[in-house]
Amino acid sequence: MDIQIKRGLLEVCVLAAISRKDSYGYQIIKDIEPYISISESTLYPILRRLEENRQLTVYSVEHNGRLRKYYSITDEGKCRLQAFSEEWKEIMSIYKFITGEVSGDEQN
Amino acid sequence: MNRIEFLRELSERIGSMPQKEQEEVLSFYSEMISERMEDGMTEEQAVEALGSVDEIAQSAMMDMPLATIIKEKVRPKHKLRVWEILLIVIGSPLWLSLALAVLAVLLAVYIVLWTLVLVLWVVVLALGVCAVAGLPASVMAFVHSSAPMGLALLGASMILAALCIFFSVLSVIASKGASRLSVLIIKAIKKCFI
Repeated sequence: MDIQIKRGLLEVCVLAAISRKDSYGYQIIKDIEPYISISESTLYPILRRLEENRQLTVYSVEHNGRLRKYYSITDEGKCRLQAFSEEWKEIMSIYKFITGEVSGDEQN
Repeated sequence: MNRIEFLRELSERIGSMPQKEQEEVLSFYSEMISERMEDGMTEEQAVEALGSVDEIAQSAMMDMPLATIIKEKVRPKHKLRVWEILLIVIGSPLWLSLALAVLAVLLAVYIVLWTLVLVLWVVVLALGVCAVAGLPASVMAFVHSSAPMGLALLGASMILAALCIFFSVLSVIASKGASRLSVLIIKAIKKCFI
């Protein structure tokens, strides 16, 4: 997959993984992994960037005698997800045109 | 490699980051090792699963400013001995001028890149000014001289306006390209130093 597209998708995937319920690093990887390959070294900069852009917040919870960091989506993060699905609708219709599921004159 | 060895090696590799950032990186990967161990892996397996320390250090350092990375890389690992200092001083006409030359070339590439963009914008501005100035001029020509003259001026002004729009689209594309290119250049330089 194109590296630029993948990077953009990964950010949205991370937001989606924490959108239903606050989540922690390892769980995020496990949730995303079946769909798009992600490793810790890719996840870390993404989490930092999303935190910097205030699309998520971080808090720590005690777990088995250590601290586990939980990530929680903010309103700005939700806006980003919303914007993504709007954009994707457009892309899907282009995709249908490219693959020939709809022909040019059918669309009009 | 166990957890302590891994964390020690990683902290050596990311030593140029601010203390707080370093701690964040280390605690993130330490947490990941714990999670995997709770998932049933042994400590060694958990460390293994994280991938290479090189890759981890690189991904963590990429967001750091270029100057910080270079400063750390250039800083000597031990206190300089007398003969080393002497060698640096005596060799300075050579290495200093080479370093300056490299720097100057990089700077020149950067300036050329942005000058091209600037030129495009200047063209847009010039076209825009001429197009706007053409309008009152054509009205004046209608009133004071002949109608064909006025029409000709109006037409010229319209063509200039069209060119102005065309070039501004081009300039926007060029600006985006140039900024993406300069990000790539900086990334490439960073990679050399990490």
